[in-house]
Amino acid sequence: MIKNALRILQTPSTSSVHFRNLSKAPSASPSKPEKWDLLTAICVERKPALTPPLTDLEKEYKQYLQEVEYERSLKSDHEMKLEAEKKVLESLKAGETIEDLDVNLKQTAQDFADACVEELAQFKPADRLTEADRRNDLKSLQRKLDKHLVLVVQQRIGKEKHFLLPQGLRQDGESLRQTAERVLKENCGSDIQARIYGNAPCGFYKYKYPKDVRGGGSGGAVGAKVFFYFARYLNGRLPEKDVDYKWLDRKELYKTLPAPYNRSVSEFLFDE
Amino acid sequence: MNSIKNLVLRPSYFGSISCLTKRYVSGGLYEPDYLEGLKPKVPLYDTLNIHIKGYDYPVLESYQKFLHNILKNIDINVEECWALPAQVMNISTYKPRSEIVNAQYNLKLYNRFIQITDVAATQLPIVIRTIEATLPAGVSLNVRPHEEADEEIRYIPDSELNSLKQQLDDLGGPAKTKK
Repeated sequence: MIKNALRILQTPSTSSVHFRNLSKAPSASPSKPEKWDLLTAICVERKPALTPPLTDLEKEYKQYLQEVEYERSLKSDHEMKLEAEKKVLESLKAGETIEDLDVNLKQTAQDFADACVEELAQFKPADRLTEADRRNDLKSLQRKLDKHLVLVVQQRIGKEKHFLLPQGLRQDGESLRQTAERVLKENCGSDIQARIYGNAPCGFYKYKYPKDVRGGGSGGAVGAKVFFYFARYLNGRLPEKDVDYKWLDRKELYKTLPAPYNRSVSEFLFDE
Repeated sequence: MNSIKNLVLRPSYFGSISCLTKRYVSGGLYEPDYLEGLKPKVPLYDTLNIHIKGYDYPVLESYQKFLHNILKNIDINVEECWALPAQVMNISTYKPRSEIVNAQYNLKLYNRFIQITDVAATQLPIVIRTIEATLPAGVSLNVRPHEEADEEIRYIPDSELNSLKQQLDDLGGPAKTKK
């Protein structure tokens, strides 16, 4: 029954391949079809605030393009004004008086340029490395402003605790997307706001329970299937007390997550 | 749950004449089956407008070209691309507690619209994520469904015609002819 329900819910994405394999297995064995727990996990990602720094090649190419553009460009209004004023000033020095001065000597183009340079000198852009970077505070969102940060939460799976994307079991009558929203609220508090992209999941992970847990209880599930939903972090904070969470960038994420889980997660995240 | 099972999962078991009353037939009894197969399996979005804005003209133009290329290569139907006149802003900063102008800036906010049609509902989140990942610095993005107002704003109002119409209204409407 569950298998049939899953076939109705399926999307033309990675999940369909797994279902096709699964549908062969129960028909081969005469016993009743296997039962799997359905979970949704939500991947909340914070967008970077800064552009990543340029590599050496990129810097050289950018420099080259700017030089070419300068060589090929025509003179701007400002440059024409500068030249005209220079000529007028030289002729004034030479002693000739010119009658129609259409050059305004009170606010020359050179003065304007100097004023602009002065204003630029006074402007100090903020530091790329924030305080959170220096303290290496993994809970802060101000860390690594040029990278994407993904939320991981410590959760108890079986007997052990792992750092995973927030996940939870689907309840009857809920769509997977509604489950994802509920999971976010339960695990991360109601303050955090995230916009889930689409009603279809973007990733999939399947694992079997260890034999002593399998089939136990009224559920009798063989294992669990986790569907990942992608969400963009908008604003809000997680509660400090109950939840142990971290905001990790790609490298740290791939080190923290358990290996087979990591393979499924890295498939739907952009490389950095 | 069971009724859905009967309708969707076991059409081959309905072999007798009684199946014709139960089978899900759209378009009528005499329409060929492949027409049903041609319909998209995932719902499609009708028309969406991707609106990009920026103060830096060359960056915005080249990004619009880049976006158009990407969308064309993933087989999304790009219907139209247009631009609206830039928003011209004149900003003057004053010296504190006086009316003496400190500095004046003339800024122009340029924009570009890309209209895409028939995007699959499963495809759109991926497209939006790709656009967000490739956005250059200084360009902002807004994706929204197409509205009539978006079309109306592109037309330049005919000021002469409008003023003549206004004059006619002031004079008391058009002359009523006897017929």
